[in-house]
Amino acid sequence: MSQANSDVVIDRGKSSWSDLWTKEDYWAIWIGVFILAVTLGCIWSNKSGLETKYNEYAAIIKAEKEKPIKTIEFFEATAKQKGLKGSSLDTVKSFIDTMKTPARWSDNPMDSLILSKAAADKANEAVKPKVDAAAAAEKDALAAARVAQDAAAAASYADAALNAEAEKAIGEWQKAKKATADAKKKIKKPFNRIPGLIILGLVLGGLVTLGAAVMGYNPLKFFLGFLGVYVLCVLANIFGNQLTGRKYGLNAEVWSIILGLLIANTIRTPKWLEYSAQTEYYIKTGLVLLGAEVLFHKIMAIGIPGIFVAWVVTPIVLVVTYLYGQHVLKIPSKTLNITVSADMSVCGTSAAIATAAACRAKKEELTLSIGLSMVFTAIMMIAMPAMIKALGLPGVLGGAWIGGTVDSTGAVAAAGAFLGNTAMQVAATVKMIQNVLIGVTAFFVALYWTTKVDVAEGEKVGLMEIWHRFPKFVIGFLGVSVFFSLLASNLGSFGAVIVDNGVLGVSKAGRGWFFALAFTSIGLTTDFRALAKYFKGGKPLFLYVAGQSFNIALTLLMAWIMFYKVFPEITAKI
Amino acid sequence: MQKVLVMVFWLVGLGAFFLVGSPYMDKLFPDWARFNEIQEVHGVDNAHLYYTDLPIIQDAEAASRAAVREGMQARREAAAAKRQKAASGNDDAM
Repeated sequence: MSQANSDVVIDRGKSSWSDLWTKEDYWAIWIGVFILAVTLGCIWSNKSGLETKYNEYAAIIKAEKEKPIKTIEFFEATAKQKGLKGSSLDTVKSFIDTMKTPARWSDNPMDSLILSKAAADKANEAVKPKVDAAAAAEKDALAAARVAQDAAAAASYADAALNAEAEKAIGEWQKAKKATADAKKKIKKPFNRIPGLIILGLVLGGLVTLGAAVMGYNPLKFFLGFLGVYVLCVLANIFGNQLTGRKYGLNAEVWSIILGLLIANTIRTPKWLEYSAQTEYYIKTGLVLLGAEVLFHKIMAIGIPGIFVAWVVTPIVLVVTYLYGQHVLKIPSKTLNITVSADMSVCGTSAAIATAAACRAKKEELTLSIGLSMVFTAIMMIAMPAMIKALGLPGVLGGAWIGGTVDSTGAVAAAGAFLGNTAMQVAATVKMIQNVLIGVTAFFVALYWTTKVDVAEGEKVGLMEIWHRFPKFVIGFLGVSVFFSLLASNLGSFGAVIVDNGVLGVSKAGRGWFFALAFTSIGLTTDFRALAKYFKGGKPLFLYVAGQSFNIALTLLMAWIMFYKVFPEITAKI
Repeated sequence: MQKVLVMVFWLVGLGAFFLVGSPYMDKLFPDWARFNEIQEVHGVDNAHLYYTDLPIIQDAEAASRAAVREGMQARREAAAAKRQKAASGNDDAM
């Protein structure tokens, strides 16, 4: 996210057809779309098989729903339908397995790369008897449920007492089934991530080097430099999967910055490594892949209350905070202002990345925004549940409040879980709706910057000029988002098989790696002292605190009005 | 050599913080320890970047959508009952 200078940029560049293969924005789109198209192609070629099974289960579910009780067959068909995933197809599974990051670990970092069969068996010694016991209990519960259901069926489901007995027995079976599933999660399977990581490095290296070569870089130099950046990324992913660190929000992206900064500010980044530390290239590619996850039909998940909390309050807070930063705090850098405002009001790191790229913010500004967000997330994820409990607020209101205010998506779910399942459900859903807003945010920020900020005073920018200046990767990002949103919503509930549990398995993994590459590159090319300059006077901190205070107040008010005054019927059913 | 040592120092320091310091912090702040436990139980953690990373999101979304359907159905039924009551009230008046 480099800028030629911090002054207003008057870009009189013209677009031409050759941009399609010489400009980084377009290569980000080609690489992102290529990965998504190959994945979708693999899944789509098996669509009819998946759809046939899906419809079979749907028919069973429909038939069983006619009965007065939810039968064993209903639950079995529902579970099988839920288990149908595009990501389970062999080719797609092999993509996802290759793209897997190092595993979670606690004491020994090597546990993240290799777990031998002997070590897995040893770790499972204590767990396996519990799994076997849970499986046996489930089998007994199923047998009892079958007997009770048969008795109810023999009376044609007309006997209320028999129906109640059957429902109770089936409920016990479902609990036993969940207990088995929970116990099985603790079973460790042997793995070896090293071959996958090597293949992934070569494939990603090949893809980005192809683009770099066409754009004028030396392909061999770039590829070798890329491998160096990739190795650091793998290290960052190892650290980012340390169990304790993850709980404090220290994921691979954060470790990527830390490692890069450490190298750049101690032994100095070698020139051969710096050659391939192409932050913008990687971040734009990651954003195009993220576009597949920005599914617009998700915004209706919790109805109109969710839209008001996430899509009405958020833009108001974003704009008001930005204006406060401009006119009251007089923050010198507009790009820093909008990046911090978006980070705080929308959804943390992912919003900061999208906004920073859209307005061409400096990489130090992105780093600072993420740092601020992390610090306040750590405070809010503990303080907000405590405050909600102290005030005696109901779970739905507390969850909506957390979802609309805590930055990090993971922290939102964790803070909601602290209050209970209802709060976690509402918090996660509200945050999901807010997450979807980043596509629109990136578009309008890019448009605003192109037409109002990066212009000379008094200059009017025509449509063609807007096109010339507009960051093209945003079009790719939104285009992918619109495509998959339309695809998923047109397929109805079957869309989850193709998109949510299909293509997204690969897009998530891909964007994770590209963001980690981008953040490593940021770290490798950042002077630590340059970061301190942006914090001078503490204005970004005041901006964050003021904006977040406003966000907290407005979100609570809106959540209360929508969930308790306007739509209490929805709240009653949650 | 000095620069390498500085880098190693920072890495060791960070490692020590997480492997030694943070278990101590868990003891010092019980709420934090409880918070960490809950993250493990539900499979969510603070490091998740986007909603698609949350294992619980599909169930949360399905439950929310079901609540919206049922809630709006109840709202429509209440509105229909109210209209019917108002209409029969008018008939009685006439």
